[in-house]
Amino acid sequence: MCLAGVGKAQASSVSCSGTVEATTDGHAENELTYNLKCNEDIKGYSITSNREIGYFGTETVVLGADGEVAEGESFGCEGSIPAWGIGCQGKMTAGNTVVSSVGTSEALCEAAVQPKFWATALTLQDVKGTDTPFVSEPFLLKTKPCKVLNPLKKAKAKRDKVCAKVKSAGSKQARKAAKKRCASARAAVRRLNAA
Amino acid sequence: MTRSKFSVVWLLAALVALVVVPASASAKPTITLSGSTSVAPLATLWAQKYVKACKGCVKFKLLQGGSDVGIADVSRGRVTIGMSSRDPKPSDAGGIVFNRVAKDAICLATNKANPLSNLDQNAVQSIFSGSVRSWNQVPGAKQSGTIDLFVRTPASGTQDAFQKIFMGDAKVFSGASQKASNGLVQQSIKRDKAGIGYLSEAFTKGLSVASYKGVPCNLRNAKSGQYGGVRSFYFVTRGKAKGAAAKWIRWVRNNKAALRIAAREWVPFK
Repeated sequence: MCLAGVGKAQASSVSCSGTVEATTDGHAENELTYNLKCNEDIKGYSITSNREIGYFGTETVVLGADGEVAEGESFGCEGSIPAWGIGCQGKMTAGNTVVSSVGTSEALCEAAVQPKFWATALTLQDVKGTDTPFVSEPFLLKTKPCKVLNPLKKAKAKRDKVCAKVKSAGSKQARKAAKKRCASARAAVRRLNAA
Repeated sequence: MTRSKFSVVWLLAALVALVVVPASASAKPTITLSGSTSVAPLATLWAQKYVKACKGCVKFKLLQGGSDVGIADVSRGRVTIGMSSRDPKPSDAGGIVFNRVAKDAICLATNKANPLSNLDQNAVQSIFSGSVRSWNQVPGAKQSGTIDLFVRTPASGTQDAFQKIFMGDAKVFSGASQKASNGLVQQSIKRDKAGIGYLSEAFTKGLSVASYKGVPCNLRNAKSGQYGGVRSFYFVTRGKAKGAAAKWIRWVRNNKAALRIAAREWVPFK
């Protein structure tokens, strides 16, 4: 039996990390800012999520270690709306940080499971003297977990349950109390809708 | 059931599935867009709002590449809509329709350390054609030494609009540093105290913006028509827009929510 010669591992060696957090100064609905940093130069990346993406920033900013904009480094992002992720092409030097935004179709916490975002990076690695593209494994980006999942859905269910008791209340006093609870439940739904 | 009969039934079921699945999958049309990096930020905001407003009636696929790429793509039938930030040109392919969807101000910007209060057309032409190469020759400049010019690549609609509106017959200096997007021009000027360039008003954050012909480059002046450096944004279609694309363009031009989105950083259609 002949074994192939033992060589360098043919897999991506890049390691990336980053965060995703809600932003209030964006223009899109349910906008989130993400940042991503890798320990090797990258030529592209993708962001995927268990939340449907309804918006993405088409141009990114790359910041150097000093926090200043890195000259000549940027990504252009493309993808579908809605979709479960986006792809960005450009360049970033190892140690720099790319910052951009995505927006979810629904409010971030309106789902049954905690939000998760992953980044995958594209690198060029030298294989026998040729720059060869390698796609990394997905790296989980840090996201603040939701305190309550499905808050609007839960508030609506509570409102429907509480308000149904207004009609079925046996006495005037019970109806008055049910009406008060119903009004408060309706206000909670309005608050969440507005948020 | 014999093995051969079973195979035939299975084959028929598979054929039915092949016919049925694409039919249901194609029930939701996809609008594909490519082109201007200036129009793309606005198009993504509109797409998000429209998908929500029409309860997911349509899906979008958004690519970039510059206005010339979008116009070439739509004329070849590669995309439904080409995004353009420049006016039609005689060299464009026949049979395409430029649907104006918004307007945008092109601002002249310098580094914050080197603010310029005003530039007239002569000064703009002298600086960007390369006939004036030193900040010492620019009245009011705090910087001295060589001017670093940041311009856009030839495929860019912003480049075309700048040439048409600001430069007239003068040509942009061939030695200028060409950037592929507004964001890259913004970054370059932010980093370079001797830098000057032009870019969409939506990308001027962190830069010093000069007035043009005595009128400050801002949204208010662009909307009122006082500022002279305003160009149109177009959704270019192959022939008259049809189906889902036509509906979307109508929505973009007339819907209050769409006009509100445009009014945040651009000049809305009406």
